[in-house]
Amino acid sequence: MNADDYITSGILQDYCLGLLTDEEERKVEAKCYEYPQVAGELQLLRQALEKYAGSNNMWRRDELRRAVWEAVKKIWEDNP
Amino acid sequence: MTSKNDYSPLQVLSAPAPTAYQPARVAVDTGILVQMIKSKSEKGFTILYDNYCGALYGILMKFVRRTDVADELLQDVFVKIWKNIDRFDPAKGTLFTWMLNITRNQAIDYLRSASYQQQLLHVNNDLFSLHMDYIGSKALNTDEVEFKDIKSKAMQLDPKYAEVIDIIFFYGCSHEQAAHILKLPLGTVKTRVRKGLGMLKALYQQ
Repeated sequence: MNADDYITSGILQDYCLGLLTDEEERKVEAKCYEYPQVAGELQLLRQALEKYAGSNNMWRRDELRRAVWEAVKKIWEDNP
Repeated sequence: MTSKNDYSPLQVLSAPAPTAYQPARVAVDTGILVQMIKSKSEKGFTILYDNYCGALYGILMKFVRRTDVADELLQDVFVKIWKNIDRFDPAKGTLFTWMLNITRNQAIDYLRSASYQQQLLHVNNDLFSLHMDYIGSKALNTDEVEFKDIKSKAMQLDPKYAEVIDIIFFYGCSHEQAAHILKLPLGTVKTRVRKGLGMLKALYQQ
């Protein structure tokens, strides 16, 4: 299956929505490395889903990443 | 801090020369990623955050509609992931779906919580518009025009597509459960969820 056929197959949508098995997920990721066009399409689908949810890339904020990392580190400190 | 050797167990798929596109996710064997989390690897955290956080944060925002609350819940979600990683069973589903379920449950627990119920008591206006306006005021790189654009495009999606995406992705139903709830043939649900996400992509590209 070439990149165009793969993109229109609908499997990328299923990937974004968490509907695939582990093996199917890996195959999609391998395709992304093989075909940058597929990776680009997947990126657009994921961004569309995030915007639809109202998150609009807000998870990318450095301060949020730091806060989450600190919360995780605290578990390690509490349970060495 | 982690050592340079932290990356050694990764089985990152061999990538072609750099291109205009970045891979959507760093391809790491789930088993190895789980081991990295268990071994307190900062690199494991980074991979997990970069690969999955967009979807997890999206679910939180869909439920709670407030960035300040979603920020707090995201920390709680990651704490739960780290604390419960030993309970993750690959035979029952992927790491992604396991984390999606933790996130949904965290959001639902919040909506049932006393603090949220208390918050509702003070809301006299249309809840949806109030929350949406609040998000607008808290949006990253506060750009009201852009935010309204995002909001209006979400409203443009035909409800018959929006409902299947909402039920399957945000509420975690299977195709079969969605078909039962919506009284639709299974094939129709599968088609609509794929088509709906494709339509969202087209809407946000405009």
